[in-house]
Amino acid sequence: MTWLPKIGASAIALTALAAPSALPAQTRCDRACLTSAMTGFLDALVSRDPAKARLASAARYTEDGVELPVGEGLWATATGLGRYRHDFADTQTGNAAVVTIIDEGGHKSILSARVKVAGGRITEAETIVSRAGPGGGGMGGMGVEALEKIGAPEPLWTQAVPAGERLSREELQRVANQYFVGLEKNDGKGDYPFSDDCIRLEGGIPTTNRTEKLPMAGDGYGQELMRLGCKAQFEQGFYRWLDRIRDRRFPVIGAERGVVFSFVFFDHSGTMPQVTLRDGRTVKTGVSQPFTWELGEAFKITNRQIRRIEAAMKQAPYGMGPNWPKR
Amino acid sequence: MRHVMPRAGRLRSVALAGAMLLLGACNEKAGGDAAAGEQAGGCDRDCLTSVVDRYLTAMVAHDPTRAPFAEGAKFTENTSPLSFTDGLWLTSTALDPYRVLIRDPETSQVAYVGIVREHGRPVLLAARFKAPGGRITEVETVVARDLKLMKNLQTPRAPIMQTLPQDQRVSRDKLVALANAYFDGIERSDGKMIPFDAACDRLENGLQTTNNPDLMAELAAAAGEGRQASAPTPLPPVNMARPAPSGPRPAPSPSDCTGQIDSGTMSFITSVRPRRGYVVDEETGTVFGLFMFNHRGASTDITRKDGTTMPDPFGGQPWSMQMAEFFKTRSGKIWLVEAIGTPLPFGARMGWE
Repeated sequence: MTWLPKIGASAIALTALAAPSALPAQTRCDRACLTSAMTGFLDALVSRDPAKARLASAARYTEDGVELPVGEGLWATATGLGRYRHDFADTQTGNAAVVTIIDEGGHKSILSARVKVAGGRITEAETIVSRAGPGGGGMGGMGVEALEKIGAPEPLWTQAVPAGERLSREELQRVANQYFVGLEKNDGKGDYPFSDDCIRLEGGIPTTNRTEKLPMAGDGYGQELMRLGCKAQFEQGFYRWLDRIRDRRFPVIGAERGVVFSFVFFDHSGTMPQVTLRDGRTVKTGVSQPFTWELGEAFKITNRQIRRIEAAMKQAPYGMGPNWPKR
Repeated sequence: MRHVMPRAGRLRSVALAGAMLLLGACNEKAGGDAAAGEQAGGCDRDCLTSVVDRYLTAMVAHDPTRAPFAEGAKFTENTSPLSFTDGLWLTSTALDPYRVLIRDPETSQVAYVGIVREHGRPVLLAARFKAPGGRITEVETVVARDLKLMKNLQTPRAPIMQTLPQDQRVSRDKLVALANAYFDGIERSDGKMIPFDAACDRLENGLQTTNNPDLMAELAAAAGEGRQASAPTPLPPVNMARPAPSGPRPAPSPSDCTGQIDSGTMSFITSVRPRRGYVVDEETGTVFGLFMFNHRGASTDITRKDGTTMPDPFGGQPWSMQMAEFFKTRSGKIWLVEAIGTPLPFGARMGWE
């Protein structure tokens, strides 16, 4: 990283020296502990002061899939946080995730972030910033405004699943992964474990069960699709132009609330400018060039069915390799 | 947007008769024969031309067996390692006449810049090939998509591939040093340290970003139709400067190669590193390379050397841009510059580390 200013190295040194009050150096960081760690991380970002984050001396940071020295990327640009904040905690693995709004000098974006806490310190931090600028992603300002308006996730997300109905970690991950299995090369014939009341947010915007037009969905079949529910959308077989969903990670699994937070890459080879739906209609897709999304995507799962989905994405170079775990 | 259909681009039905380079034999076996002209592991100018022709022909046919690949050949597109059955190899449909070759027999390398059709739409492809003995071992490409202005991408500027008179040539080391001086000058906002020819001009993704009175209108037109994936020019619009508090009205940003850089208008570019993949053609006085422009975005404002400020044209957010760039020189000065770039996450690696 010789091209970067030296602030990164000095910031790391400062962090080690400053040694702010550490998280409890307990074996397991509970929900409050993990949420506090995330709060500390976000506060450190917007104050542009890595020393305020409870970072381990060898903490690793990535932004949009690129490893950066602490002090670079958002550490040099973040100026504030928005109102919306959606927390996820995994007390078993010590991982916390969040979907929130980050402000960079007046430019607000959806931020997906994960931190890992071990020994009372943050040892890993990764962010995806759905900026609207060059190489951006998501719904841009429209999505940010929508999240700021609602201010907080639906209460359903944080409701505890009755003890007798809780799924194992493995089962929660399996159901979440079924979403990606069904979406990849979507043929409309798969096992789609959605509840009837399933709702999906993408980049802050509802993309299921819509009653209003979605401007970025164009004037073609997209508007019809957006009116359908989660399962009905998958059953159309429209998404077959999504070639690969790869490097799937499920770092935050919360059995108590039935939530899973994942990171994945969606590769679109750009070879299907049109597809034939299961009902026989051939419709335009607009997917005629290679591109990749990297995403943070969360699921609320009850009774082995997906009830809520929340995703935020960032455009990445087509085929971009994963950076977690470190290669 | 994944679940939302990307806005369909307007497909262009352009007649491409004659553009396809049907030089590759259609029935070659995997790996194909080495290009003609190879000598003891080298590859002369004709050999290098043949390498490019056969690669492009194979690409638009979606058939890598037609290209003279060596075993284990490495390929990146916009920094991502891909197979020769992915990326532009899947989506390209034809070749336009616009093309530049920079041939470097000394290192068995050749650089190509040209227009390729992707489902009919034009994209700019810049590629560095290494082909010792006429067999391709390395292919490093930058693809700039969503081009909006094609008027400068019909025919390359005439001098670019012309052979230089002997007395206007300089050594390969000097050519690489010229490229580095250009990027050092950008990093330091010092246009005067860069040896520019008085007739210097630059194209960036087809936009003429120097000495162009229509640049603002062209940028606006490009932005108006732009998609999120569009490849921006790294240059800001030329007259965004604001007066300093109680200071004089800012002078328009200079539009010539030296003045533009020297004014500090480009100081939102934090660094241009790494710099790699040089291909040097001493006969034509041209040097090509691959460069990462890093924009740290630490401030939403740029302060120019005259004390006036202007907003960071990209909003004070961090991002990087991979550029393939070549410099046509004469008599040891940079004459014509052409850059092909695509936006990437901040700090992205080149894929060849």
